[in-house]
Amino acid sequence: MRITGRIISALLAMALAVGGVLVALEVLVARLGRHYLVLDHPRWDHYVRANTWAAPSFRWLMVLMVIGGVVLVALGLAHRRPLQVETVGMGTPTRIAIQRSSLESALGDDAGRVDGVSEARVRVDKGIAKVSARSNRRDVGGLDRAVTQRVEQRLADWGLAGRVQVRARVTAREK
Amino acid sequence: MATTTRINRTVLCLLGLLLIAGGGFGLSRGFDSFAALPADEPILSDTTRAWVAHHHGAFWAAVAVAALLIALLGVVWLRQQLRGALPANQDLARHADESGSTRVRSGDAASALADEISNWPGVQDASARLLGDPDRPTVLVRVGVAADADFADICRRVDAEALPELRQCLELEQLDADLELRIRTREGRAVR
Repeated sequence: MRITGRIISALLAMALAVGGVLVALEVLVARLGRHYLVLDHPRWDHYVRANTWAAPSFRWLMVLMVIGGVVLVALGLAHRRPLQVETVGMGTPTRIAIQRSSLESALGDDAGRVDGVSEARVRVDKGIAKVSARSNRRDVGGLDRAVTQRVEQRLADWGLAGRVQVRARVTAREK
Repeated sequence: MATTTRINRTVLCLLGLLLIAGGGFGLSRGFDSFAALPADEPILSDTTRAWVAHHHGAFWAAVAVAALLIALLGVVWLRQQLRGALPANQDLARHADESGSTRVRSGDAASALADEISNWPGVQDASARLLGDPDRPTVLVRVGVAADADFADICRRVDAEALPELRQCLELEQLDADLELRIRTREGRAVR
């Protein structure tokens, strides 16, 4: 979501920059008594004089504006996972944090090394590490616990004990 | 990065609300929701046209200035998107006496700090930047560490060895620090 927001922000920023300069240039060109450069304002002028507020094409334009606005607000308010997870108990006054994506990747690697687990992914958000693991076994009894213990141990090694809770779910091989 | 995200969220929300307000007003008026503003009037009424014609010079000058301001804001916002993950070092200006000041190149000191840390056991790479108030700067340190490294020891050494050396080198009484650890997986992948 952060990347999408950044791409859309960059596109909008570019549109504002280019649009602003174009409008200023069109004003200047009109002042010099010339026709238009890029923005066909005589046509727009004709449209807003010839159509009423109730014109279907104008209503559709307004609907698109509202939809665009809702999309932008939703994008602005969307939940983003933190970039870092702050550590505790390293015994230093310096603020220390671990990059969230690297933590997820490292925990996933670690959980994947538990005997019986073939593949594991970890998502860290709101103080919870959700481990989704797959096993080659048909019976995965006890594997949830083993994965949880392994991940909890790692979190403790990295100063995150008590700061991140672990929830593991291991799915069995299909029969 | 966090600042850029915060700015993007705010600007996206503001632009979104503007679009919703504008579109909502246009739709409401189109459906005759305002008694004083009938829907069957042209979108640009003769009254508005007459007003613009009457204030021709000032109106279009104001439009041009507003458009340029919007363009400027767009450029500032775009520049924010293009900023790197780690901001550039800020040199430290020192006022030696009334006759002048000295500028301390903080980039060299930050590089030396990063080089030192990257030679420690368990550390794969490191980078550092000095930012903020010249009298009380903050050093941002990013350390790529092996998953099996002793994190506590690395943090302790940063705090007890590297930062005091940097503080001494820059002749600073106070130096705030932010340390970010990036765990490198065993395959040596640089995880993002």
